[in-house]
Amino acid sequence: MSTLLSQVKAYAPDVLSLSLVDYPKEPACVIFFSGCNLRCPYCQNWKLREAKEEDLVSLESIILALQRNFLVSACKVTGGEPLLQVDALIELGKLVKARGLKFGVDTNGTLPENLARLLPHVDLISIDVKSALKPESYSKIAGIDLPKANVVVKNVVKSLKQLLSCKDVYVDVRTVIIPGVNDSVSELKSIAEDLKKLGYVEKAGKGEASYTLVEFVPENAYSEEFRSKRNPKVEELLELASKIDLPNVHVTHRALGFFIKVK
Amino acid sequence: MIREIVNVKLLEHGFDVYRNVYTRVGVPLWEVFEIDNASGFEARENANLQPNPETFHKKKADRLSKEAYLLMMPSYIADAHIKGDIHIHDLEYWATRPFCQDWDLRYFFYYGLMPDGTGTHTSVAGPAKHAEVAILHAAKVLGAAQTNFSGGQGFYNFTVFMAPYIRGLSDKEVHQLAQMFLYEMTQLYVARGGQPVFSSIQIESGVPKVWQDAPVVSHGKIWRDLRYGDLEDEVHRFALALLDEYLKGDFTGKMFNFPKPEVVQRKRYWSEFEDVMLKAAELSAKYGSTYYDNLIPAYRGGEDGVSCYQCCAYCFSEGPGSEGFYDKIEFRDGAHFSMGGLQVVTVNLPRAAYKARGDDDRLLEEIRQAMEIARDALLLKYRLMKRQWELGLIPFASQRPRGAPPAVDIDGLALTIGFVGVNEMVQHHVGYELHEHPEAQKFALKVLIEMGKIVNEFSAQTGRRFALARTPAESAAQRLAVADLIHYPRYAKEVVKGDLESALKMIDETKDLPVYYTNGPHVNVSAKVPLEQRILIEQRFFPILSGGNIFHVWLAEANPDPEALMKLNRKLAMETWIGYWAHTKDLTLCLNCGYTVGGLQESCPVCRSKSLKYYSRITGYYQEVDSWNAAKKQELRDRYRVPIR
Repeated sequence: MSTLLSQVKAYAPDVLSLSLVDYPKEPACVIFFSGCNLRCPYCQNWKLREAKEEDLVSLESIILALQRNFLVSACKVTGGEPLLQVDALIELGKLVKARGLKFGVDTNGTLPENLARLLPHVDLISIDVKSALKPESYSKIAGIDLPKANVVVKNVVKSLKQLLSCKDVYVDVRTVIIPGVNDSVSELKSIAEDLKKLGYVEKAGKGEASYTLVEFVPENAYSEEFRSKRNPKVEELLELASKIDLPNVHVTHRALGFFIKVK
Repeated sequence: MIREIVNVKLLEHGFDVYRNVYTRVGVPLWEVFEIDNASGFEARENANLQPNPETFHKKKADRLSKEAYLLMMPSYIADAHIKGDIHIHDLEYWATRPFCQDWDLRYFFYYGLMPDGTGTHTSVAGPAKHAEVAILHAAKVLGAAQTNFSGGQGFYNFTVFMAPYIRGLSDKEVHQLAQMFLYEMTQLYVARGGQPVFSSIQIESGVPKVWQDAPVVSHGKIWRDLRYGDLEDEVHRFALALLDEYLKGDFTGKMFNFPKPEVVQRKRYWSEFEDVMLKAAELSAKYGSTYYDNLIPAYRGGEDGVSCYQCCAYCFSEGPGSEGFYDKIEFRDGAHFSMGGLQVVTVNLPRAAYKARGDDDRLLEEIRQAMEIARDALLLKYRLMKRQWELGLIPFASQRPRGAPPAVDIDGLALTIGFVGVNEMVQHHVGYELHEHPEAQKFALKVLIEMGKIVNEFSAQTGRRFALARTPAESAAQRLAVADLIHYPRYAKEVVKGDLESALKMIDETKDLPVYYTNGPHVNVSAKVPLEQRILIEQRFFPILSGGNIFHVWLAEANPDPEALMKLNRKLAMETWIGYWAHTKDLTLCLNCGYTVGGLQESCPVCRSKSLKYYSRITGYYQEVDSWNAAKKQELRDRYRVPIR
């Protein structure tokens, strides 16, 4: 196995040995994959946008770091867009699960084929729905032109459809709420309508899906314009959450907590 | 004038002792003025003190007492303290007060309460018959106790001994009781100058094995037909209610920093009372206030003993082998447990290393010499306390209501030898800090094992109870580092932690400098070592200390997931030797909108005000950062936190 491990490589510049805010209910090790296919101006991890040559490491070194860490019960991969490196991700998932740890992946949902291949190997997918699932909205919030946004939205819908109809994988759908950009009630209602059509309610009914409103943190945002925006207040997030006609809605805010169930 | 001339002559003729007896201690008027204006003498020595009229009074008394006691003790001990070979803690109380105590509530539920210890200056209350009275008595016991002791006051087994008063109460009433206690303990603002009692309570989720068959003591009697084991449901409900009230915080949403909630970890609780463990984790996640008292590792004595890990995290325990153990369990003729420390003297380990110049034997010899001075100081303290005790001058502790045995067993209090700067000692002597090389860890263990042997020798030679413990070192970590920058600048500059450059610029003007030695056997707080690796290093020191130790998890900003935190706690409890830990979460309180938020924020995430106050854990308790000394403020900046994005 070690030969195989040393052969499989990934662009993964950072490992956070312990996080209590990345995997719901589990102390988790977080692995950062670099490289992304979107250019969101509000992005927190924009330094991981490009997969650089020096980011390339063997899976073996990641697994070694995991082995030493007896405190965690889960492993979460974030990015960047992890699904760009789906082969490495699948190998990692197999190894993590063989160690008895839970395996979760963050994604922007733009790579449904890769997602389909990954699904048998994960316990949790956290997928972004960045705004109403319309090309105009996505173009702005993901920093891409309209034709590309067209494709992106279609793919996100495909990903959601797969996720909300699959078994044994917990799905957390997330929207980062940015005041003045995507915090209108109508925008969130549109998201909720689409999620309903895609099977969210049934999946949530089984306790396998949640919808989370996440606080936008301006301090580390990629674009200067977004750095000058404000973060939403706790009350605003709670108010929005109360207006969304979906079950199992959560809120994440620095002044409130991580993944706090609202209804 | 005549006195001064005589004193000079006495010194000239070598009568130092008589000179000390005839000299006077005093304070220049300028210093009096400074103290009354919240500056000057040790204005930040203890972060729990806030400037107020009571505190100014205490500071003046402290100033006189410290000077006087140094003159009253043999000069070799005083010199060792002044030069910084050792640090005598709470020197202002040297000849008047023992250090800390974990009280046995049954005593007061059987005999009643007289806060002055004699019943002459305060009213005398009979044993509590009602739940509210029981709670108020418990609060007043700690308040009264603090007037006799210099350090922390607590109740071991708190939830178990309160249980008989919980019987038949509704959940609402139990919560009300819990809330009353937290407010009493944070609003009795009368101890040692104006400050709350430094208090702690041990929260058991159920009834520990050794108490299962013990008769209940409450309402002024020993129940013939009721055992603590019958009250497990009450204990459990009270534990949950207390944690609920801690979680609520005060009227403004601020945490209750006292009494420190020490949630006991036993294997059985993890299978039967996970609800308590989850609430404890929620409290850690919200305010960081929970302490975890882990009885699972074998060295803690397991299920057969009684132990506390109180106040500044000293650990005391008694087991079936100790004298009269079962009489105490059954409260026969008022026999009860009295656990605590008489005095702490800390040894400056880095200095011993400087003096040893790389020679192992010489290092151990230097440490032994410092420990022998500490031993002499502690034996002297014992004689002083014994005399005060017999004269009735520590009356709350020595009280004997209705012929009962004294509330406190003065002979049983531990004489504690503490230490700071293991990390800097090995850094100088071995060439690596603790986290840098296994050799450094191995050597540190070797030294501490030797120190443990010396402490045992002391006990055997003197028949007194000596203990080796980590020192909280709120001021000692700074004072000893500063002393070494003055006396051993060449070596100390290489290893002291903090902002050396600023410290050196200010060293002639103030001793409140932003430099420190690492506490006890801890890893350098700024070392970028993942938590699991720091555990592997620091856990090895727990079993070899007869006194306590604490493991700090410095949480970075954001609110951790309580369930994830609970699972982390389970790992710490079940899979490590860590005997006592806490998650420290820094808190920012917005003065504009009143919001409390995790992390040291530059502006309020709710209203974006920059008018903020910060709270964090200093050594072993939470307090506002403004009131910390310069070294501890620096340490807060240096702490490497569990990075949470």
